[in-house]
Amino acid sequence: MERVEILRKIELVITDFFNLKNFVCAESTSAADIEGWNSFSHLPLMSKIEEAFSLRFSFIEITDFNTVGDIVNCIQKKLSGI
Amino acid sequence: MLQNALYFFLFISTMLFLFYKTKQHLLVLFFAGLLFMAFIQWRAIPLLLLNSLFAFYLAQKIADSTTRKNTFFILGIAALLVQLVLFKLFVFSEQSLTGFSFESLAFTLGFSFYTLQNIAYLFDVKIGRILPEEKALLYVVSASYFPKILCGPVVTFQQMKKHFIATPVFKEENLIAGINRFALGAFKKLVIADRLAPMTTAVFDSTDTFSGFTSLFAGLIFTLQVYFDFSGYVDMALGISRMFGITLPENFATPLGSLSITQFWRRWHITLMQWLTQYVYYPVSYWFRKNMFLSALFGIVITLLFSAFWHGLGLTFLLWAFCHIAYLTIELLAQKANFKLPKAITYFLTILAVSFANLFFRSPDFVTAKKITGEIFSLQSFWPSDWLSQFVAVFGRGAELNDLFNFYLSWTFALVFLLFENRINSRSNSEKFSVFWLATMILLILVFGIFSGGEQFIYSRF
Repeated sequence: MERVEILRKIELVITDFFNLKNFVCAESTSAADIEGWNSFSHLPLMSKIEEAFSLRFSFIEITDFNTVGDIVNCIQKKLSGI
Repeated sequence: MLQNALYFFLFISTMLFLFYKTKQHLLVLFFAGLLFMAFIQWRAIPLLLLNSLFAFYLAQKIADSTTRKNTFFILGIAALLVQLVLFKLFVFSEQSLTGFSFESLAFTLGFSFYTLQNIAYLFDVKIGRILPEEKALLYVVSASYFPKILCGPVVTFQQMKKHFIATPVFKEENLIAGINRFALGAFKKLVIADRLAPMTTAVFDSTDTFSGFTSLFAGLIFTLQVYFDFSGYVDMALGISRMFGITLPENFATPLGSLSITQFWRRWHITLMQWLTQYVYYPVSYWFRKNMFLSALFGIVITLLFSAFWHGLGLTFLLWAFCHIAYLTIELLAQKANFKLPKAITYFLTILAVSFANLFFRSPDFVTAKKITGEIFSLQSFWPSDWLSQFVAVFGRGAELNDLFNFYLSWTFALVFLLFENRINSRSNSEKFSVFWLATMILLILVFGIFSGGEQFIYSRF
């Protein structure tokens, strides 16, 4: 899967999760850019992304994501079996 | 006080000179840490060194072992937590039996803060986030770094390491910014916090009964006092550290301007909350992350209960935590139902809720907390029947001229500060030398500061 495809799919999950309108996700997007993305919503959001891509993040991966770009990197590695 | 200030100035100047001029900056910081501790309380040094070395060697064991990784990790965390429990039990028994005695706890100075760093270090090595440090001196220096040893901010080893491995380069702007920030901290502590202190003592350490409104107002004053006291300390810590070219993380972001309790906890004691999130909440909530509400609720409960335990074992801290658990749960439910209130109301409710919870936090024991909070829920005794004797005289301590002056002066300073807080904070972080800023701070401190029998930093006892 291409990076752009992964990014768009994450965008859909975030839009749905936070009930956003006209949200455009970039690789640099982080929790600070989205109202409601805090420590309480972070883990459930990651769970939704796991469901969307049918994969599982490890504890260290989930807690070390700083930007959406980090999530894209991780998903791309997992999907290509690296 | 002035003599101590002079010693401290000499100490900082000498350490700065040695730090930048010798090629042994780690050794300089190590001895600076020891000297600083010795100056305040030499008996605290052994526990600090032993615990840091314990964490240092155990982390290597955790990383090297293939079969007993978990055993070493559990052993390390258990040893640190047992000490923390014993320490809190000791404080608790001291408080309940004899009243708080700082002297008897001297050997544990800074313990709650460096223990958090040691726990985080073992955890990060265990999950593979970082490799164990090979140089014992580097690790010990990060734990005993003197600007943060008394009251934080709470930091992790990797946050400190990057600063310590770099060769120090003297920059004038770091020195100036450090002095600017330090001056603000001293102002907050000596002019505002210590002036507010007698007013909270008048209510919390008294055997008299007060009207509900007076009690609630005392909670508000304590909220201001603890904010100016703690953030004042942090300003001074960050300022001194900046002089050494080391930027410590911010611990406050205008928390008294919060529009919700959720927002308050993102702006208050930030580094402790980040620590609790990373090392308490995430490891537990990771396993049931599918359910947003349960995960959040569980996070709130576990984080605040640990926070209460970290502050002390008394029932009062538990009740303080329960208040915040209730507030955050209500906000979570309101958010779920998409219920919103006007900003002015949420601001008022937030400061009121924080002040109410602080009545438990500040009360020396449960009996006092019960007495103080009891009147708040009584319709008959909520408002003072005589404002002069039951309100003004309480905080003005008998309405003597000096105390009344103190009452009005501290309030004026606190309110003016809060009104212009963002602007003042940005000025205190400036890298430009300003005669106006420094002269204003020094004059205000010299004229209005409390120097005789200054108050202990509130957070140095946790």
